[in-house]
Amino acid sequence: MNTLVLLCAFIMGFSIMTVELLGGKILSPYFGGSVYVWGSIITVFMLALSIGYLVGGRLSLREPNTRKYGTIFIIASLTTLPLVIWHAELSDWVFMHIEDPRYGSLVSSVILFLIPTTIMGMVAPYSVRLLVANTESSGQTAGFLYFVSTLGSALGTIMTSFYLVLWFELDNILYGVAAVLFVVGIVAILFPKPLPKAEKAELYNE
Amino acid sequence: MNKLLHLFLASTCVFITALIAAPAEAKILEEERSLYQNVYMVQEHGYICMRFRKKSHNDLSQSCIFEDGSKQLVFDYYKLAMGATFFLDEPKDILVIGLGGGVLVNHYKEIYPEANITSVEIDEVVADMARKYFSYTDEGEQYKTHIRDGRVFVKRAQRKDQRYDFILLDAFNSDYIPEHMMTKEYLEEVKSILKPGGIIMANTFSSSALFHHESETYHEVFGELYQIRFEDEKTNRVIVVSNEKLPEKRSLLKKVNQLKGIMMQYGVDSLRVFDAINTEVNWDTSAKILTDQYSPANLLK
Repeated sequence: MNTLVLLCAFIMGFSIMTVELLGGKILSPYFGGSVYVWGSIITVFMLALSIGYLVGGRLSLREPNTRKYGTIFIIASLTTLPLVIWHAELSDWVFMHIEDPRYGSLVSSVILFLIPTTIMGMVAPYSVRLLVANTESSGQTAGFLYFVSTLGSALGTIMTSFYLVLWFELDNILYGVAAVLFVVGIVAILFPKPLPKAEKAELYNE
Repeated sequence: MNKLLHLFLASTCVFITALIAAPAEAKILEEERSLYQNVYMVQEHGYICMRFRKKSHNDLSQSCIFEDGSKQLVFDYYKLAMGATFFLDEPKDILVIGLGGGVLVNHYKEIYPEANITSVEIDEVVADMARKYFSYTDEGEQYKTHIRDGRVFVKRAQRKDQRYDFILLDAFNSDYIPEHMMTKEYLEEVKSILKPGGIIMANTFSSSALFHHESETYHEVFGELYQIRFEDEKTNRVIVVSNEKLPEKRSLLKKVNQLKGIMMQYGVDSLRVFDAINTEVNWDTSAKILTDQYSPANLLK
């Protein structure tokens, strides 16, 4: 029963790292392949994810359900599209305005990645909310969820850097990510999953 | 569990023994960790070399000079790179992307004393070592060293309308290739900062799958290209291209003869290098070109 949520979290973990790794390839024609370009990308991803965790956690307070959960995936998919379509123009624009490649890459990263990655970050805490049955098992459930989603991240990292870039063009991989997230979102919306039983009882008791 | 622990301890011991037992034939003059790599200055077999790895293997030396101060070039690829001079007519502005030890820049300075030479090197430690051990210097109005990514430099040069007569692309080391500096878009940017009839020379590889993709990418951007490679040299080659039609090979002979003397000082046999120049299409022309969208250069090795 929980497989759907776990699978969704796995795919999101995969997607986040795919986008992050391709971020380096998106920015290097304008700002180089130096450590500070990676520094900018990682900073923005960490920042975005942390905001996403915060917002996702809050969101899970109000009538959590898989419909809303699926909607997050669809929004994540849609906010990835401008990144795919305009990354060259946007990087070029920043390149024209900021001489220092450190701040250039940082500003570009914010413009390109902050919003989609924030939305992607919302999935983790929301998944926990959908899975946790009671307070006693909450740690174990959260732990297992992190296990699954981080495993997805690891696989996304290695697949992207070892194979995907060899098989496909950059934009096509990103379109692939957007498409997968969209489909996952639709699936989550179409298969509503009741909240774990014990938790439901608690809710009604309140 | 105990078994695992034993296995771990045993393998750790083997690893440490291997480290201690590693032959220490080369004398390390200096080592410094930079943002990008470890830079080792070593002295071995009568050479002073810059290496990015400790392990002794000739291929891994980036730049070498003779310890006794001889001007002779150590590597074949330096000699191939000297072949670019046959295509040049007193270049005024020279751009070198990838300074390394500065060996080639030092020689171009001697051959073209009037030229302005701009060098771009991403690694400050590499440039410092070049100054300290390879007598590279950028003192004087004519010479400049920029510490930045080559692609970023070229893009800025394009916007600032800086143009060069001769551009040397040498931003590679033996095991890492900057993927954003092998693409069609990059080559187009480099082409755009070349003065009409200027020459671009790239020092690259002549083996692995990358060879086909790279050659096809150059061909896509520049049309016909000259390659300079020795038959017995398996790993390096030099590509010469221009934004205009390249000269006929036999028209280079005059320059080859003119430069014979100075080339001899560097241990370069002009005629042998001349023989090594050809326009033969020796790559798989169906190889996919490298672009900013598709540039798995490091995976194509």
